[in-house]
Amino acid sequence: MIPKRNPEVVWRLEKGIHEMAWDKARKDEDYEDLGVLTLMIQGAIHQLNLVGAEIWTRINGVNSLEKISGEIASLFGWEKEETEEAVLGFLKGIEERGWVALAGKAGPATPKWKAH
Amino acid sequence: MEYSLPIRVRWDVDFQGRSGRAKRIARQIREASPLHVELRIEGEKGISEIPAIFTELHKCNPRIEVTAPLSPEAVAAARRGYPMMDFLWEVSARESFRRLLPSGADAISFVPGEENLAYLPDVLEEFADSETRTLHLPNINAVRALALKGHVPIPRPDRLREAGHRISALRIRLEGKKLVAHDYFLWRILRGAFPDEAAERVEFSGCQAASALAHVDWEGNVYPCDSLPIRLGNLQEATFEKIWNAPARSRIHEAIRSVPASCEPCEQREGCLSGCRGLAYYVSGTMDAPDPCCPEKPAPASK
Repeated sequence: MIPKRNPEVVWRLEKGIHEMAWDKARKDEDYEDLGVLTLMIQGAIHQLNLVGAEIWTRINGVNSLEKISGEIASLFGWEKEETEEAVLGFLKGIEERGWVALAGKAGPATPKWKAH
Repeated sequence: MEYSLPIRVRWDVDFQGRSGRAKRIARQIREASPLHVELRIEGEKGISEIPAIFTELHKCNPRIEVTAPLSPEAVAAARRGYPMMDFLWEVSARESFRRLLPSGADAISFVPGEENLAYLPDVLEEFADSETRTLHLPNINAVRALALKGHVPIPRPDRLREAGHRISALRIRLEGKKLVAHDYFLWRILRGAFPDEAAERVEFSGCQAASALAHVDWEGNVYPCDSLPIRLGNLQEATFEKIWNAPARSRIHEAIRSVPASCEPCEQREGCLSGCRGLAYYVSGTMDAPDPCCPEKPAPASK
């Protein structure tokens, strides 16, 4: 499965907050509630936390689910299988919002972006 | 949500034939990496700056929305087809706009203030008959109004009510069209009359001044919002990051996050989120004041 970003989504990393979240993660402090990446689609603003941001920035239409999960597991020191399940769950969630298309599933070859 | 820098920048590119060093200002805005840039073009000076502005801004890949006058020069500029750049055509109450709209025009903009609110029903009627799909109704640009007229023509609640009655009596159909009202109280009126077209305010989740939003004027001065005329710095003298990280901006952000005392007991607060804090500040001199358009409160004395 190879996820592809919806080109209508504009996004950026919140630089200082991204570093702060990593600093907290390394010190084993709470970082999950920090919004480190901001996205905008059709005027609506959303934020992803550190894990979501690291997944999002690896979605490039080339990296597979396995590759992304492997890198996330390595980054955060998690078990590979559990991480793949969690990453897949995250991708399915943002697919429902219309932020990505999950190519490689049964269905039309061309991703159909949902109106959000 | 917290942001390291604004994600939405509104820039008044020109004013009465004047503009600052547009390319330099555009570069400073670009370095802030906003996700959405709203350009307001007044005349030929601003139109002539569009290519240089686009060259800078597109490097950070934002969505760009240009509000431009219905002039042949602006239409010609729009026809060049800049990617990721949408044009909104500014309409006035003084003349019919349908015949002036370029072919394929998707959106128009009308700023309802005290002086022209009575014409909003006429604008809605013409919008209904036009091919355009979206009508934007931005808040009054206080920075521009102060420079032009020396005061800000904020609609009074009774004028809003009158306009609301006339709008409710309109026999128009807006299927397939969209109304984007920045003012909460105006949006409430429109949602009552056109529930599908006014829809939910996904773009407006409380005052975003000094957090997600920044305003830049034609000389590069930075403000928390175009409705909140407190100057934070100038992009021709300092970077956006330096201006945004200064204590002045943080203090304004904190003041906006606190709920005005008179709003606390109000049941409507969860919907209006205390309305426009900038106009509240302009009218009363403090952000601990209700929105002057709020129908739940007595109108404060205007400046």
